[in-house]
Amino acid sequence: MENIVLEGTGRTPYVSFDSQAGKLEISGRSIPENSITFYKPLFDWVDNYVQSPKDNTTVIFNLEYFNTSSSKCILDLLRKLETLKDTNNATEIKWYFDEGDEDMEESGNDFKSLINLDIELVMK
Amino acid sequence: MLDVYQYFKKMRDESIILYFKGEITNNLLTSILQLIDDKLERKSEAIKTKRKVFSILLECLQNVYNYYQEKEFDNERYHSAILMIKKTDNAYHIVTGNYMSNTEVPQLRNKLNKVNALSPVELKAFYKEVLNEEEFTGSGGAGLGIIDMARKSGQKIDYSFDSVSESHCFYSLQVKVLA
Repeated sequence: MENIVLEGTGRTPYVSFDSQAGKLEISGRSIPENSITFYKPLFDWVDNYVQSPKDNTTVIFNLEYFNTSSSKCILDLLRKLETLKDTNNATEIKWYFDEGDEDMEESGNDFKSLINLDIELVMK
Repeated sequence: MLDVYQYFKKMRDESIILYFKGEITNNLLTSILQLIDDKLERKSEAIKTKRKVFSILLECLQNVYNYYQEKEFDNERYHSAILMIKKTDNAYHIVTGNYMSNTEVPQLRNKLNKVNALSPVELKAFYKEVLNEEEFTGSGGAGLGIIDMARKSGQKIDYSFDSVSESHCFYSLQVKVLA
């Protein structure tokens, strides 16, 4: 399957979804007005990926800002990845936050409590 | 006689960082966010304060923008909005104001009252409940914006609805971030 690489903009994050490496990364700012339009291709990619995933999948969220419209999309993305747990594929999810950015740390904890996957909070 | 200096002094004395009145377009939104990003960058505030101010401003602006996108009021006068950021001794104040159809006031007022009555722990639970369970609205907001602002602010949200006609009112919102 095709990999996704999107350069970050002032409103949308850098995205790198690499199926060969089993590595998914979303970094920067996710603040578009309509995040569904932006996330739809990413959802489709993950739907495909979980059909034949790598033994080990690494997911990295390294966000500076995300709006509430994106938060729903991030949750949906994580829900799709929960499938990997059902099929016993190892998944490592890392949620990065800047030292002192308590809201971003808190958000990581929010997702962690809503999702049946281990999310590791990592202070930068 | 020009009274620009009077305006300047008034804005300086009230510590206004940003003031805008007019239609909030997509391009303008980008410009305002860049502008405030630069301004915050040069402030010596803690990272959490800067991030809170930017995040709350972002939600406020996108709320106004999305609302006008959905409504497309016939009367052009109603397309205009106000945005202001000021800094007092101990806090940043993010202020927005926009026209709104009277029919939408009760529901919004209920939501604001509800959010203002919740403790930080309850707000966190409410946020997660809405995030987890509710469907997206047309603009994708899922009604999370106000809860998120209240959570990040940690203060009560000030608001008012000023009647402007039989059908419309002016909705003002002020969110505080302690510096």
